[in-house]
Amino acid sequence: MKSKRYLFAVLVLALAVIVLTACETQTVEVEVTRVVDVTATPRAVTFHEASAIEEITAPHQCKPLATLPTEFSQPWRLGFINPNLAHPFFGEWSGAMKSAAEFYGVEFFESDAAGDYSTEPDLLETLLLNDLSIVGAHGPNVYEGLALRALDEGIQFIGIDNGPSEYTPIVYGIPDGIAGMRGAELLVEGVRKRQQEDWAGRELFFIELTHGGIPACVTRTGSAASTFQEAMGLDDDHVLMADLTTGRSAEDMVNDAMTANPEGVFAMIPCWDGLGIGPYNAVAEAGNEADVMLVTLGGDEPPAKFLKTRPMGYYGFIEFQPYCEGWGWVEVALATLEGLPFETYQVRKAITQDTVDQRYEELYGSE
Amino acid sequence: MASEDVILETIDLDKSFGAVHAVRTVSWKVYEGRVNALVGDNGAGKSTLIKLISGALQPNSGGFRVRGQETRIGGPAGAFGLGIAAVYQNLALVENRDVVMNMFLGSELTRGPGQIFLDHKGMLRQAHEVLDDIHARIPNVREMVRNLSGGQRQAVAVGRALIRGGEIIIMDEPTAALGVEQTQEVLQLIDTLRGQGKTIILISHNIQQVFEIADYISVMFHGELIGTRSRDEATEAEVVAMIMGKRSP
Amino acid sequence: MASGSPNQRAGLQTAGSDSRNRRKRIIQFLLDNGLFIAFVLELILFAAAAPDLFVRARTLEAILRLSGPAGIVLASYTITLISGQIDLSTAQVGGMASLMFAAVFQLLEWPLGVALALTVLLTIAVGLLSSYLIKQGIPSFVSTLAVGVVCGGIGFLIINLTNQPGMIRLVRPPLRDIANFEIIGVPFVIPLMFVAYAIGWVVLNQTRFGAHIYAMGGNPAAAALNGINAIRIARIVLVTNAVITGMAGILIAGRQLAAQPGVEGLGQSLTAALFAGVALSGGSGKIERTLIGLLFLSTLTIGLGILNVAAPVRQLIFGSAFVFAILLDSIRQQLESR
Repeated sequence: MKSKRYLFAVLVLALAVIVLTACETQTVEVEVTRVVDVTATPRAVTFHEASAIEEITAPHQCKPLATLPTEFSQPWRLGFINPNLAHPFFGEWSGAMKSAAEFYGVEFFESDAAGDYSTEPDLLETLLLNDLSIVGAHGPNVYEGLALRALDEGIQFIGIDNGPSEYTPIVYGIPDGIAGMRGAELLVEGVRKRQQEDWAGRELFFIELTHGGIPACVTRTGSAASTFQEAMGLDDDHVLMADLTTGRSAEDMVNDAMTANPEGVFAMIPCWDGLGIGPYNAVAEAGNEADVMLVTLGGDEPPAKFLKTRPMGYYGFIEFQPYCEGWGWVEVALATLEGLPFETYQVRKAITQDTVDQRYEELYGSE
Repeated sequence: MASEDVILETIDLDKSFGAVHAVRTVSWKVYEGRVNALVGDNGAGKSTLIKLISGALQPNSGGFRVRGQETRIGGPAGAFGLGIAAVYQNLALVENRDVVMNMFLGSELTRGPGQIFLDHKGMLRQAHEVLDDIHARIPNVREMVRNLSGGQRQAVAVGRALIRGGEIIIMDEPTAALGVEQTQEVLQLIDTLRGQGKTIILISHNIQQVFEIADYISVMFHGELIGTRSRDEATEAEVVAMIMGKRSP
Repeated sequence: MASGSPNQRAGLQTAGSDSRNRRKRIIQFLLDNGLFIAFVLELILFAAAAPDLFVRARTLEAILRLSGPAGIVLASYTITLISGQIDLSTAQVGGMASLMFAAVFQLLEWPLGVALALTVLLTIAVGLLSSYLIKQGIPSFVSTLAVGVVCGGIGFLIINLTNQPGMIRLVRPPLRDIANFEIIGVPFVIPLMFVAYAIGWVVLNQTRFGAHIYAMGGNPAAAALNGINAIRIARIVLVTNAVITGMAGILIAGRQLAAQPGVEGLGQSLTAALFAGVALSGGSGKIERTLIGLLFLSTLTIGLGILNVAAPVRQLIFGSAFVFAILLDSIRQQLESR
C-alpha cells in the first residue's frame, strides 16, 4: 500500500534526526570546553571613545552605554527578533543595530516578526541556527518563553522593554517610569500656559491612554498619571483611564469622557504616539480641539511630522530616540558577553512645537 | 399462482405523511425466487412501500409476514436480520472509497482484540467471491467507485446487499440513469440473482423492461395496490391501463 | 453521475496507447506523490543554497521543533476534516484550555492532575456543545465558529476574573519541566507527534471507525442508509479534537511560560490540512500526506529564515505554495475521476 511507504519514509527520517541530534549534542560539549580555554588567556585591550560613537551616530548623537574594547575576546554573534521592520520606530532599531554591529565588528542576525508576536517562538528557532552568542527580542507576553528557550541553548536573552523575570535578569529599554514622568512634566508645562489663557477657570481632567495587557504601558502611563495628578493637584475622580483591554477604541473612550463632562478640559498622555494622536484627531474633527491637550511618548517620524503642522492642542512629545535605543542594545549585549558594566538607557529629548522643525531636519532632512 | 411460495407478505400496511395518504391498506405477496415488479405512476406510493419493507420507514398500521412468521421490521438493521436488503436508487455509494470498502460499508469484517481492526484480506476475498457469483465485470476491486460505470456501480450495490445476507433484494429503478448497454448488464445481473434463488423486488416505470425480466407485476395507484398479474397472463395494454387507475376484475 | 467513458484500460490497446498509458501512469505517480516530491526538492534546494547552515542535524531538529504541538493537533484535525467536520474553534479552544489550566494550576496552585482533569472536562464539554449544534442541523463550520467565539469569551473572562494583564504567567515548576522535557536531546513533543500520526494512520486505515469516518465524510446520506451513526462519529471526532487541541494549548503555554486567549499556531490547522490535500468537503485525504505537508511548511519557515528572506516575501512564498498545492490537488482529482 502506498500509505505504508510514506509512513516508513517518515519514520526513517525521524529516526535519523534523533540519532543525529544525539550525536551532535556531544560535539557541542567539546566546543564549550575549548571556549573556556580561550577566555582564560589575558590580552592587552584598547577601548572605543565615547566621542567617536556620538560622531558616528549623528544626528542622533547617541551616548554609549558601555565602554567596549576595540577587540573582543571572541567573534560574537548577536541575534534580534525585530517586531516589525515596516514600523518606523522598530525600523530605526534595525538600522541602528546593524550599524552598531558593523562599528564594533561583530556579526548581527535579524528576523522580522512583521507585527505578529505569536510568530516569535518560531523565528527564534531559525535565528538560533546561526550559532548565536546572545539573542534579543521585543515581545510582550512571549518573551519569557523566548528567554527560556535561549537559556536552553546555553545563551542569554536580552529583550527590549521586557522583563525582568528569572529568565531575563537584564532589563533593557525605555525606562518606563521615567519616560512617563518626563511626559507628564512636559504636559504640566503646556497646561499651565493654557491656564493663563483660554483654559483659565476650566475644570481639568487627565486621561491615561493605556493597554492593560502590556506591563510597560501600565508602568509608563501610570507614572505619567501620578506625576501629573500631583503637580496639578487633581482629585482622584478627575484622573480617568482609557484601557484598550476593555475592547473599546481609544477614540470612543475619550469621546465618552468628554461627553460626560461637557464643561471640562482634558490633558492626555498615551502609551505610544498613535494611541494619542488617533483620539486627538477624532476630537479635532468633532470641533472640540480647544478642549484637549496632548503629549505623546515615542516620537519617531509620524508624530514629528504631525507636530510640525502645529496642531492647537498637541504640545509635544518625549523622544525615545529609537536609533539610540537600538544602538544601545548592541552595546549592552556586548558588555554582557564580555562581562563589562553598562548603564541604563536614558530618555533625554523633549520636543515641542518650538523645537520640532530643527529636530526634524536633523533626523530626517528637509521635506 | 397458488403453487408458488410467498416469502414476504404485507398485511394491511398503511402510511400517511400528514395529509398525504401514501400507502393505503396494502396487502401484497412477494414470491420466493422470483422477480416481483412493482409499477405505478410517480407518486403512486411505490417508494414509500419499499421503504416500509426495508425498514427505512415505520407504518402507521399493519404488519408483515416473512416466511410465514408475523413480524415487524424495526429499522434497516431489522430488515437485514430478516434477509431484506435494499439497493436504493442513488445506490448509497461513497465515491472516494474503493469497491471493497463500499461493499462492506457499515458491515465491515473485523479481527484482532475487541474486533477493532479491519480484516482487509477477508473483505477482499469475500468481495471477489460475491462479484464473481453475480458475474460482475469489475477488473480492480481497489478502484474508487467514482471511476466505475453505471452498471458496475449497480453491481457493487447489489454485492453489498448480498454480503449483508440479502435473500430478498429490493432494487429501486436500477436502470433509470443508464444507457442501453449498461441496462442490459443490469438486467443480466437480475437474472443471475434469480438463478441463484434470490427474491427480487424491482421498482420500475419502464413497462417493456418489466415484461422482459419480471415474473410478477404488481401495480399501485394512488397508494393502493390494485392488482398483481403473472407476466405470462398479462398484457402490456392491461398493465398500462391499471397504472392509469383502471381496475380490472 | 459519471456514466461517461467506461474502462479504457480494459478496452482496445494498440502499441501507441501503451506508451501513452505509461506516460499517464508517470504523471499520475508524480501527482499522487507531488507533496512528497516537493518536500524532497525543497530539502535539496535549501541544502544547495545554504549547505553549511541547512545540512545539519540541528536544522532538522529545529524543523521538527517547529512542527511541535500544533502538528499533533493537525493529526486529529485531519481526521476531523475527513469526517466532514470543519472545526473553526481550535485557536480559541487552545487558548481557553491553557488559561483554564493556568488559572487552576498557577494561580490557585492546585495539583497538576486536578488542573489537567478540569481542563479535559472543559474541552470535552466544548466538543459536546459543537456536536450538539451539529445534531440540530447546523453545519459544523457555523457551529464551531460560534463555539469558538464562546471559548474566546471564556478565555477573556478567566483573565478578567483573575485580574491578570492580558495573559497568565505559567511558570510553576512541574509543568514547565514537563513541557520542556527532552528525550535523548529532543523535546518529547517530537516523538509524540510521530506517534500521533501513526495512531491516526491506524485509526483511519485499519479500523472500522476509520472506515466509517471516510464514509461519513464522503457521503453522509449513504453512510446513514448503511446504518452508520453520523452524529456519534461527529461527537467522538469533535470531542477528541477539542481535547487534543486543549492539551496542545497547555503544552504551548508551558513552553512560552504564558497562557493567552488565542493560540494562533493552532488556528492554522485548517490551512495546513487543505495544503496537504484534505478535501474541505470531507471524505478524502491522507494523514501521512498531512504529515509531509506539515514538514514541508516547517522546512519552508526554517529555510527562508536561514536565507534571511524578508517577511513580506516570506509571506508571498507561503501564499504561492498554498495556491500551487491546491491547484495541483484539483488537477490530481480531475485526473483520478477520468
